[in-house]
Amino acid sequence: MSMTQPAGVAEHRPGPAARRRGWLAGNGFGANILPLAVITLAVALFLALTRENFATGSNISSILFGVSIEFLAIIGFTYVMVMREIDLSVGSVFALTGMLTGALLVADWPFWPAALVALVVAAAIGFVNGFLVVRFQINSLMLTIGTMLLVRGLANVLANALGGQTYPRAFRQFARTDLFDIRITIVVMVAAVVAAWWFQRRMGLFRKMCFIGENPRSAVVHGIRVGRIKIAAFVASAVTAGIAGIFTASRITHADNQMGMGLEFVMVTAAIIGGASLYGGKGDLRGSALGLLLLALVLNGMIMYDIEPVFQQFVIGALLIATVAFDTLVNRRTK
Amino acid sequence: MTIAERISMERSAPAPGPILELEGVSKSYGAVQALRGVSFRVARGEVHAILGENGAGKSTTLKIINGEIEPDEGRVLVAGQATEARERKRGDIAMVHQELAVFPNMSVAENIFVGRIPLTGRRIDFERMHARARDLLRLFGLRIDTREILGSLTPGQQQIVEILRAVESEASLLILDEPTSGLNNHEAATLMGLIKRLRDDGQTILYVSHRLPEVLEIADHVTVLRDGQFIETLRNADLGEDDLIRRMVGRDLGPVAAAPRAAARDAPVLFAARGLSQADQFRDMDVEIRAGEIVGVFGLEGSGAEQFSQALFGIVPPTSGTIELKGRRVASVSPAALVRAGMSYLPGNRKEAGLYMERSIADNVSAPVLDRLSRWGVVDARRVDAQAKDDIRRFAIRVPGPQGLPRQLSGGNQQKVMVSACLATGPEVIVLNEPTRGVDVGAKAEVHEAARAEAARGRAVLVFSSDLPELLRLSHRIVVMRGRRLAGEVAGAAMGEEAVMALAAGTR
Repeated sequence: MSMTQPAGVAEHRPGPAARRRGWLAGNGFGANILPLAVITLAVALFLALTRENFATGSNISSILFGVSIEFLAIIGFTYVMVMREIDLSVGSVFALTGMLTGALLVADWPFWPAALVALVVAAAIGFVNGFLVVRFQINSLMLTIGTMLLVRGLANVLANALGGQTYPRAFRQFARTDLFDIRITIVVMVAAVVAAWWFQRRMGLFRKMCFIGENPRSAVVHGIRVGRIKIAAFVASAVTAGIAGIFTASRITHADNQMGMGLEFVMVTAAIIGGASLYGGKGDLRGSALGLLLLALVLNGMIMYDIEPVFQQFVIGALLIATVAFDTLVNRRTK
Repeated sequence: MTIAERISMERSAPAPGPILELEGVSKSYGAVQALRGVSFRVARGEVHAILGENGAGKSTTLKIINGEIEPDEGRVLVAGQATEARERKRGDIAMVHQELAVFPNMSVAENIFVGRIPLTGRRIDFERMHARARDLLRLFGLRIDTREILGSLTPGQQQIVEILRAVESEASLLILDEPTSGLNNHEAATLMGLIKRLRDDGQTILYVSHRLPEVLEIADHVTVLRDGQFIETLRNADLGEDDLIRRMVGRDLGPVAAAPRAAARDAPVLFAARGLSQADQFRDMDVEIRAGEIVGVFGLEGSGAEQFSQALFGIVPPTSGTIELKGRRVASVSPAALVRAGMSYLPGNRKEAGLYMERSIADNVSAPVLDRLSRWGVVDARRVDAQAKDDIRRFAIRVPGPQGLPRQLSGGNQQKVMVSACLATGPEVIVLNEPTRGVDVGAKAEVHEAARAEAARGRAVLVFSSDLPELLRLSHRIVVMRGRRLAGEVAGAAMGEEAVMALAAGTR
């Protein structure tokens, strides 16, 4: 702070320390990022030291590639959770958008129009979710289980119509696009985490989301447009899931009715590990990314230790129960 | 044994002495003394009314009698025996709470016999249950099918079923807490008939209400409470509404800081509700507030005042009627639109809405003005902090700093944080709900001062409060609601507790 500041103004300035603590520190926001990073690193180190196949360039880059695609889908999902809602239709929307893009390409559409149409369909699904939740105050957990099944049905119709056909060559190469010699999705993930950090720290919109999640009735009284913001978040959730779906369709190269199956539960687990809560009011995209990475490491580690892949679901389930239980206990204590 | 048999047996051999006696009962919650040395007795076979304003101590008294809480001091005697709370809870007292506690998806008979369903072996004896329910209904001249699903009945009929449940439990003392608050006039009349009938059969009833005509109609004795203290037990003979009102009111208001009456008659109307209605909640509300005016709205529970306050801010949108701000009709009555048009609203219960308990004071007071404190959507942390510091100074909020959490504050300081947020937008029309509920005297004065200051700056202030002395001190005039509509208005020299209470509780 410069010495030339008039005294009156200087008095209002928080000291640098106070500013760093800022509004984030007041509720322990973001405080879990460091411990989470340490745990993730520890798991990685453990695997690197005990399994020689782990620390290979190809294994690491394949984990990061997978995480970076799932990360795209968790962007909107995290912010829906901040507002004490949930969008369990992400996995189905992910599958439908990816397969729809592929199907249009098989029908000789050019790539960008095909992707755009598929994303508009995703956005429409997100809008319907958000609209029903806002307008009729339907419990989003149950509602999006409904959309999840409904959209999964549509995706299966597409998968059957395509009959396991491989997508055009150009599209199969799409996910392998590199930027600075790194997969583009990994670059996007890093950029998005930095952007999210700024968004969460500085933008009024994110604070409004936190207010809505913490106490929607207060937010209404304070003139915050709760309905609009919620609908926008559901649309964002579907669109980010859709983008991830397009990359995944390209990566797996053919229509597959198993695509995105159970993704929603990976998302919930990762988001809560990363600092979101079923009780709303918090959530952090940086944490969500770390949560996804941690889950990917655990699953990769299971493969490294030759544990049957069928146990994967068991582990995801156990972690989901553990995180949700932890979330509930923490919230019970503070309320 | 049927009810009638039991009752006739009781009548033939009445035990002497009062059924219930309270001796010097006191109870405090933290620093708030809810009851102070309350003593009265209820004789067998009478309808005994407890009367008092909001906050007079009625609910606490009932909870003690019903054994839900233990008094700090004093004794409660049932049939001459000193009892403890848990004995009374298990024992011979049945209470019908103000809110319906029914099972809307089950039949009338099942609702009456819940918990005591007649069995044959392990199976429910439906025939016996319905037969007994039918007897009971017929006894009170009610034509309700016992197999009807409760949810399809009117609220009044549901209330009656709930009372029959209490009657069926064969308790010797029946407590009815505001049983008519949710009923229309016809249903209330049916209920009055039922109560008289029970009394004629020898049932003792403790009846709590603030509807004076009802109390005068059915009570044998009326016990008046005021500010947690016992005032008097009156025999209901030649009593008039005025006799009761005089005893209910007349609190020591302390020095009345004379409300400024300078509001110019020709100041512009800043806020107007015209013909505002909400289905089943209230009808045809017309209220105008001019710049510089503080207008109070008073209504007892069930008057629709609470719903009116929520409707005029669009929290639950009105079904018909219009809102005008600064002479211009508001197209969409929603909180977001009204806030942008210069209106602000203080919720009545800070535990439910108005605060973010886990967010800093700075966040709390900046929530309504985030957009104003931002540029291109980016919050200016320095301005948020500055605003919080200003508010902390202005309202003398006792916190360590802008990063403190509301959860760590006392009720009074939480309320001041909420008021700060409410005034942060610089609104021209301010709606305050219960602005000083559960706060200490100092904070109360400070909140009042803030409301007066806003009016003095030419804002229009509307205050909803169940604390009548507060309204009298604060308002330039008071609009009174009764029976879900406008009952009248008092202003100027006529403005006093009795005049307001006569409109709110009486028949005038």
